Amino acid sequence: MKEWFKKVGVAVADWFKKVGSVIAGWFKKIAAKFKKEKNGNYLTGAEVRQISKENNKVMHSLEKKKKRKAKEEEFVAEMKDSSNILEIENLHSYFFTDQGVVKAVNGVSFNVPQGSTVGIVGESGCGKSVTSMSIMQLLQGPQGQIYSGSIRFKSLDFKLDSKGKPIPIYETDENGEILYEDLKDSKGNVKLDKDGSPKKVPVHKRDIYGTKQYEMEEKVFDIAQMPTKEMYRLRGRQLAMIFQEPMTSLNPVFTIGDQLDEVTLLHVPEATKEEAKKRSLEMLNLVGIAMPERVYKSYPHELSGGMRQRVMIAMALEGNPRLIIADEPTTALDVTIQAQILDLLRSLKDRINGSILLITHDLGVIAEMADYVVVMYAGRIIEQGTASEIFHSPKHPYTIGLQKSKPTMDSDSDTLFSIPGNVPNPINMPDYCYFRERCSKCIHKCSGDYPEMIQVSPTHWVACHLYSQENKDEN
Amino acid sequence: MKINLKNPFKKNKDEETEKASPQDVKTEENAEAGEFGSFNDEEEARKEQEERDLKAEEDLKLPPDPEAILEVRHLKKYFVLGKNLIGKPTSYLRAVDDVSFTLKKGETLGIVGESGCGKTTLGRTILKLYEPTAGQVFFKQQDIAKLKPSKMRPLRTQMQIIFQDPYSSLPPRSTVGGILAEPVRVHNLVPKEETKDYVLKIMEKCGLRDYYYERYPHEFSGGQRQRICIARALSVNPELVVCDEPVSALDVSIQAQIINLLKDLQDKMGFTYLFISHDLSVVKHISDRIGVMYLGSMVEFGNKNDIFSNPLHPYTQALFSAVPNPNPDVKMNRIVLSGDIPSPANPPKGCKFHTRCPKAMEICSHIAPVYKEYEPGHFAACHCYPQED
Amino acid sequence: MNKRDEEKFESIPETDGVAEVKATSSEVGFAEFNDEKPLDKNVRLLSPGRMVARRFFRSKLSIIGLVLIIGLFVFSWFGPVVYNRWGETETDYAATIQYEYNEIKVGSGDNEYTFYQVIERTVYLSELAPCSPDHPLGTDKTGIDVLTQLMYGGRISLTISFLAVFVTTILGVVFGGIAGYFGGKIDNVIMRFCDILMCLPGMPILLIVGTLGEGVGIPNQFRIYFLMGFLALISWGGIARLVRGQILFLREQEYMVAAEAMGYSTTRKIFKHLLPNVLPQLIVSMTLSLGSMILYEATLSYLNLGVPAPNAAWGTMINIISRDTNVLQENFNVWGPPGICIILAVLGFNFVGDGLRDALDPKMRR
Repeated sequence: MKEWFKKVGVAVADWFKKVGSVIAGWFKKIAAKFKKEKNGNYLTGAEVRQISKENNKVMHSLEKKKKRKAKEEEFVAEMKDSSNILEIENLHSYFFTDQGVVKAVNGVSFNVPQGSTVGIVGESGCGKSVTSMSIMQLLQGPQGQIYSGSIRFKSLDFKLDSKGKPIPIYETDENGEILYEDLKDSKGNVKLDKDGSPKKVPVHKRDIYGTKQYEMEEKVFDIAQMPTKEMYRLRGRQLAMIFQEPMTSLNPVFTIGDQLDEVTLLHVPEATKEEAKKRSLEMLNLVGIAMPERVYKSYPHELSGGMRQRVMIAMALEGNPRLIIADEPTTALDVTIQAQILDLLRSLKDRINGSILLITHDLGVIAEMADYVVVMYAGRIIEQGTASEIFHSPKHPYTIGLQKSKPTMDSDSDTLFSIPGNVPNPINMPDYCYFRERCSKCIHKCSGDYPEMIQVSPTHWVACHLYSQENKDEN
Repeated sequence: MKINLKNPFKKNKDEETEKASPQDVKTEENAEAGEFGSFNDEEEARKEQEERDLKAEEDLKLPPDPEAILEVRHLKKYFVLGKNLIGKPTSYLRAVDDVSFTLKKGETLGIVGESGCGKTTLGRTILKLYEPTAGQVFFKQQDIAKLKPSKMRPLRTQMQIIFQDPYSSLPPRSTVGGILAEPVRVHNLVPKEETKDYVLKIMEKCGLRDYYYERYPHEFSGGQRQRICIARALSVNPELVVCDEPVSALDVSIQAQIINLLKDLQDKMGFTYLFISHDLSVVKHISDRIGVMYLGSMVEFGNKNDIFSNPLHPYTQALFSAVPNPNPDVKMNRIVLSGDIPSPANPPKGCKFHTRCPKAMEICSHIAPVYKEYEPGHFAACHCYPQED
Repeated sequence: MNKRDEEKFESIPETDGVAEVKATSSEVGFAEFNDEKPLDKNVRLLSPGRMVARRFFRSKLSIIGLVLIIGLFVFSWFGPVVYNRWGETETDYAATIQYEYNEIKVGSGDNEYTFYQVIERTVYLSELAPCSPDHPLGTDKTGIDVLTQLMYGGRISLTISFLAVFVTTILGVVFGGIAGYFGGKIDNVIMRFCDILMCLPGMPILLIVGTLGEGVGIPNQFRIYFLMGFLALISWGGIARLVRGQILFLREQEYMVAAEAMGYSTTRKIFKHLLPNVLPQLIVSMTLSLGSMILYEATLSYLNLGVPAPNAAWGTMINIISRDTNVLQENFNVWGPPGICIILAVLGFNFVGDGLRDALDPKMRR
């Protein structure tokens, strides 16, 4: 019996070997074909598996952190400077791809002072959009994650009473006494109580758009630590976003009115449909739409690109935001329409008493709009300062090159200045200055560590070895 | 009558020129309303149109300009939007509506305009990628507008196109070498064994390294892809290259590289460019002449310096002033146009721009202005300037 | 340090402090980096094939599907090589001796006796045998080993459905390609013809054609091929539409306009530039329709239009239960396994199809 088993075993093993060798031959052939066509430019399977194994570990823990239930104390923070509305400190936002970790935002720190416009400028892939998405916590999970750092945002939220309801503000007379009015039912008749005298309710205070007012309190949240569920308190109400593509950022099956009203209905407690509509019409008026009633009833496809962008801005204003993030708001628009929208944004900023974080690749737009400018390159800030500092005395070779390489209406040179090379691929970045290969002013030190931010004036910072203390001393 | 071609916007400050200026025809709308109020606009407009059609027909009979490499006469391209039951077209989208210009060898003509103005369609119709509806296109004194596709094929090597989107304009499944060698092989430009050397030479000219030969387009960034597109257009040794927004999809620092490359190649190989773009500053940088398009029509055409120093058409003026200036201290006196661009499927009657024009007059909404030469080589179509000869 | 680099230096405005540094940097600094690889050369990418593979294997269902399909193929083609005890149509004539007892009672009361009559019978056909080492899945009514039949049946079922899918695809690609590329009236004619084909109720027509085929004199063993061929003839509409839509989309892509501008011939454009790009979608739809073809084959076989006995496809093996309810009640081992095989095959193809669709669609990013 044993022998028989042995025989069978050997036979089976032989057969497997035969079949195996045949199949292995096929695979070798295919692999050889692939090898001939492909080159050392590609990752091998083992490397990819290793990368994704490591990625998964980090991704899952970060995902868990976003889904956790947290007490408010865990993500309440303190502002470093109370005049700021947004403080970003050492923010790292990564994308965990199969090709490796893309450090889209790699240690970014800047502030948005209250009532000012801060512009982030940079080329595609420099991480400017990812920064804005991190602020809204809208990075596409599980691959996109805020890895570390803090985003402190000063929010002005409803003060809640012990039951978790917002506390209304009532109209008062000169003496501080609360005013009362008769309670009316839906038909407008005065409601009577048992004694036959009309029921009295306190008069709710309303703002100029007729929206009910509640007691507010200022709180500072660290968005990087906030669970996603808590973000709903900020998104749309405190933080609003205007996107690049007005064609795709409105829902095509609802009217403009529906979409605008929804914002009010969601974010203002006890808001009625009439109030919402009134507010929506006011907002459409505010963004310079001539016939708000007609636009209110129309569907997105009936409007042109410029009109849609106006509607998007109206929608952003609806929640009375403290910070508007405009992500390339005019890139998809024509020049003449862009001029209209920029005009609008500028005039709005003064009226709504908010701050704008403007993200664009167009230096011209930044120059017209921004008070402070942040220049990003390959996920890092390379220079930041006031608009006139950046445009009149740029320090970093990249900023200088960027400004020179854009032909202007006034310039009349024959060949354009151009920065050689390409924007580096964001995986496996080196530890020296990322701009070194394209820089025409390289010095020995550039092959050393990544340069620190160096202060050249009270508001002007640059990350370049040319301006470090030692170099200054030498000169 | 001596025509004052000073910028009409500055005009009001300049009292002396007021009489000679075409400006005095318009100014206050109310005053002019009486003058034109009486005319029977329908009738008038039809007569006007008939006269112009006759004139256009005569134009078409003229022999081609021997100096020009490309001459376009009354070119029209209508896309059919709606058909009735029998299949007869009922409505059109007038993408290119009666455009004429000439382009000399070695020059660069920049076409500017906003989205939907028909600039891309114009470029493609000239290359016969779209069948022109009417008009003539002379390429080296040969009318190609009515040419059959089979006769057109050998001519294709002499006229090439570079596209806006470097991502969709390269076939995803062939290597760079394959993409560049294919046209060379198809048109038998060089002996078979020399193909690779030839391609490598072109790659070098366009700033591509030789090890890119075996790579696939998806491995490259936008700028490098656009270089590949340029190399592909060059591989057949063309004379006329239509650049359809070649830098719009690229980053600023890469834009400059590509523009320099295009200029470099022009110097070395004597190309003629038709450079289509919505970016005025880029067009200004690269072009010798500039044509401004609005809703399918050419509203202004002329030498670069003429157009930039003295724009005639109100649209050109508004367009120029709308370009953001990268200098935070200069607060520009901007002409912000009200309203949106009308749909080219249903353009306004009369002058197409009158709905947004800051200087619109009564006549503008009835009769389309004549496209006329006001300075040598400087054409415009606006009622602000005298219409009769 | 070449001329061009120097020009670059000059064109940078002299901001305070930079000018001095410049002089030193131009001599030492820049030159040494000049020949170094550009940054993006250090980065290695994922090859397109590997990217598709990773997206495919990310989903567990597609792995299950792949395992199922490979398993079934190995089972059908390599199974008979290993388990070669019984031939494809070999009937088991193993004589088994069966005993039957008859109880006969004689007498009454205390004198009652019980006799047992033992009848010894030799059965020469091992029909409906239960599972045993000889027949792991038993035998069917004709004494054929079920496991063997299942393997050979798998070959027939899979081959037939593959053939049908290929015919469908070829027809669909040709007609859809023509319609999409040339457009206009040709497109209209072909698409209306597709509409008509899609109105046809497949099963009843196949039944009629099956009967007609018998009348015309098509031999029984070829009938299923004939029927599936006919099925392919009337079901290419879906694939034609898919190909047409894809070609309409691709035709507008700029690289096709570039091909036109290059003056390539029509055949070159269709075969070198268009069709290879339709392939991904085509593979997906082929995989998905393989499942439905297997179902069609099974149904036809069940309706007695399949491969005639003693050969059997999976559908034919189930057919027995329509004729013999005893088998349905008592012999699960005869009709159960082929049913399970059909379910597994259809599920497998659908899982793989879904997985492929996700993997090949560049917009899907999860």
